[in-house]
Amino acid sequence: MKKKLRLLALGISGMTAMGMTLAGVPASAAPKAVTTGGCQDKHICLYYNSDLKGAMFQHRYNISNYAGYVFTASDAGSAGAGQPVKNNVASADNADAGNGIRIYVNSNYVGDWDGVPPWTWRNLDVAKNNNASGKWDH
Amino acid sequence: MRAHIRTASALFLTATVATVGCSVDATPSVDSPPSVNSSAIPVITKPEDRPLPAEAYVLTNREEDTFARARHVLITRCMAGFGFRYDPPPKPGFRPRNRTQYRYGVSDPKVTAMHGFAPPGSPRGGKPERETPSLPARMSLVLSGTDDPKVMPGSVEAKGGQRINGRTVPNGGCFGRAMDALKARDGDGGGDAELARRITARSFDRSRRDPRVQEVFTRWSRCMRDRGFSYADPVAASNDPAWRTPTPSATERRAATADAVCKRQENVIGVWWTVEAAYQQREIDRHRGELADIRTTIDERQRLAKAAVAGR
Repeated sequence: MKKKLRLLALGISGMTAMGMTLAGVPASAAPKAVTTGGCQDKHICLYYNSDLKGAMFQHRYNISNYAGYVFTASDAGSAGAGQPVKNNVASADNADAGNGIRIYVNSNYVGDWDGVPPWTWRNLDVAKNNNASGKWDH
Repeated sequence: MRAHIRTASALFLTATVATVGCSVDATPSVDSPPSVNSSAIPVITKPEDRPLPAEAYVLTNREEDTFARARHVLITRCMAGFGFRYDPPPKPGFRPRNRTQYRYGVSDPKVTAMHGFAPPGSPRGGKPERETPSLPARMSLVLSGTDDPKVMPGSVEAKGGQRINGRTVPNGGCFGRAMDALKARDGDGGGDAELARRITARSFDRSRRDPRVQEVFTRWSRCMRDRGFSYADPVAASNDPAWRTPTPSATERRAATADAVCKRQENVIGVWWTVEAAYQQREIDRHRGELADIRTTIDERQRLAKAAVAGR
């Protein structure tokens, strides 16, 4: 809960910094994202906010520990830019047609995971703000 | 020794169950820790042999493979109709056998003595195996149904309709068509349902913070401290940034072995699994209907996938 509030605060300050106003943009009314927002072929794109919004980090190969990586502003927004990727991912877009990917809650592909099938996006549940490693799968 | 541990755990659990309802937590009783049969805490040394109740509602590796194979077979047939050869994707390589194998971290001191915290066979510092090139533009269009980078490839928004090699690209391309045939278009993409993932996510978090599990963590921490390591719980030990090395250091191997030994000494996995299973079972009981639908969907897709591979 505390984490959510902190993230919300960051999101709001990010949006304010961009000169956007919150008026008339209730989060619950946000349409389901269907755009890929510039995720490159064969990459997994990890977003700071739900519904593929905010700053993004993409990778093509397995990452056994997300520590040390940071989000950068994307077509979908800048909220979270500069924040660490580890334990801060809310949604993921798999731009690979052939392989799914598992986002694990611990480093070295250990613990429970959220699977993201090929050419599918989803809001994370298991690994939401709790992502430590990512490995390609079927 | 083993009997002694079991008795200690049982006594402790009885005490906690008795006190927990009337103190500490101000949350409504509906979210209070579920009771467990404290006289039946199993000793667990091989968690991979102990599926949790919610695993009935997420895909097994085998189910995932069956689905992936069917998707590929259907796409390949469709692409061939356009005169294109479509190659299989890279093999997945390492993955846990199931949801419980590494759920609670390491469990076998013989394995940790060699591999540290990373599972054997995991590509800790291994070479990437994903060098397949991107498809040529026309092939990509047939596969995805769109050449607009803003549209989710294979989705209903990928309109199709283009003429390629004398044929019309279907909506969602050959990918979308394969997913239609498997009743998995858009949405979850044939993967795990949201409710099922939410149950396994919450049960892990709640059980990790549960007083009965916290107590066994305290005893585990004491055991670890006797071996020179200071961690609040096994998750913290497993995620120590010091282990970010291409191969396991001597210290990592010692720490991981201490973890596995202390887990066995205190039956950490037995207690944790039992408490987590109770959280899951309570959620399963609350969502019977939806979960039955989720299971039906998995079974239906598996039936379609097997038929597709068999050419029916």
